Amino acid sequence: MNDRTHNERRPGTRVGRRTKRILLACAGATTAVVLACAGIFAGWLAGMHVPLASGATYLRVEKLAPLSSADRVGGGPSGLFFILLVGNDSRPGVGGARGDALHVLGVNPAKHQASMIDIPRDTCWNGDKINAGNTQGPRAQANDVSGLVGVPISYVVDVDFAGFTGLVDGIGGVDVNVPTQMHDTYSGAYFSPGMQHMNGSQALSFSRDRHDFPTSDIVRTHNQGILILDAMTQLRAKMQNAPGEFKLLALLGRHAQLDGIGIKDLYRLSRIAFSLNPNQIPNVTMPYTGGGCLGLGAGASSLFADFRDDGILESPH
Amino acid sequence: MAPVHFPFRIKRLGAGALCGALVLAACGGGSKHSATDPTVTTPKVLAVKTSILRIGSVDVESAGPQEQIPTAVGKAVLTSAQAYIDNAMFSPLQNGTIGVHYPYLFDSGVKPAATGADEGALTDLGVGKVEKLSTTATPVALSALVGNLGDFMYVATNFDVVVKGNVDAGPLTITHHVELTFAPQGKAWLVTAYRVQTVRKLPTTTQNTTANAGAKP
Repeated sequence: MNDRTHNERRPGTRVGRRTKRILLACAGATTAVVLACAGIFAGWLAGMHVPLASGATYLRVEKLAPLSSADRVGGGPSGLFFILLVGNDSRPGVGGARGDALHVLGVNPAKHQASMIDIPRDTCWNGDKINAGNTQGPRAQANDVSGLVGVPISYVVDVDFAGFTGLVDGIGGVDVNVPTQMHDTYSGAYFSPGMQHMNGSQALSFSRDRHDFPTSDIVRTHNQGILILDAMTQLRAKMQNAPGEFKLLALLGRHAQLDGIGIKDLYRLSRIAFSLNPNQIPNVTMPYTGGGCLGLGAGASSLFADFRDDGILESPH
Repeated sequence: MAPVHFPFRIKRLGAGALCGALVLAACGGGSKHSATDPTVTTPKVLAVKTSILRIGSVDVESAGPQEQIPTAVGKAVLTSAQAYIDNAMFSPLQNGTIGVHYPYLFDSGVKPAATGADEGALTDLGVGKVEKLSTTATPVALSALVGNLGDFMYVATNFDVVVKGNVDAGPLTITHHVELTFAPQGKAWLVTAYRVQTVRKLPTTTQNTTANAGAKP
């Protein structure tokens, strides 16, 4: 018994060698399997597709979108709508509130596009200049512009001098791409070409300057359009969340006269309007003819027709 | 072939190494779940079943008189936001179905989209059941719009919710950036607008798959 036990434990015996070989083979096989598993596991961690390991979960995972988003507001207009933006000349010592800045914005939510037409204030309408309509209120002004352009204007946002400066200051000023040198003592516009940050008072001066240009109010009207779209570009960045939207709407509620819409609906409207990229909104000044009381110039009718059908200016004007 | 003779020390070392390898392998296999087990990270703000959002910053923008958000309004909005989380996130992850109250959280203007086209972003229905859920949420930033007459027109809630858990493929992390805008309807405050962004992260092995899925229109 003792001998046999002793023999089994001796490494040199046949039984001991066989046991050792078996153990070695097992150890080697186990190590190989472990290393292979470790390698596969490492590869799996590194992103390698392991058919057997990943197969069961492959389909399950595929239905998960890694990034999904939703941005929606209910109750806003789903169809084409037109907004009239008015800057009137009412200020201390000057009454009447004539519509010296008239811009019609057409928004097509379905096509996710918009266009803007600038109407010179001296445009003739019903025997008078069209800006006179605003002395009867924003709705009267909207009716006149609507008659001229041939589009239904549902909403009006009307600001006077104080309202305009208050709005611009309220949003922290605007960066405006000034197209030409401005040096006008009447309006107080002193700007060099290029991007300029303006406070409310400076933005008002920029919008009023007409003495620097041979065509006077025509260039001024176009410049107002530039300011509106530049402001929209900056506002759009701030309008990506509710606090930014609420801030602007509260400012409008305090500084602007609204027609056809209240602040509550303006929230829904603005979410649609500010989903558009202002850089892709054409800004076209109405073609005109004559001087003093301006008539419709060549191409004005086709411009309005292009605008009227879907709010989008597709042809070059 | 001559037999190989192993000294006792080498045998012990070999056995130790083998055991170590086996232990490592065992740990490695298990680490697919346990190394990044979300339950390791302690929920900071809310737990799944007893989750309670809390109010963070408050901003009131007014076109008229300056107002404070009434406690009742803040409470109603926060309760609705919590109901959204419970019905849109937790219920699908725990039960595989959207909570029954989910459609009633939205007003008629957005309900069709919330229960249709936007459901994939607003809810976690597509994920399936998840085990070992843990959740964290940022404090809710409240912002309100007050009209000229001092009436509260809208109250918006902004918050992030991070849900962690295990699916068959491994640990899953879902991050929801949520903005819900509520408007009063009678005595209730219903969601009238929303901005939601949902990011779902799966184990590295499945990232390519999810990326491809996400690239699909």
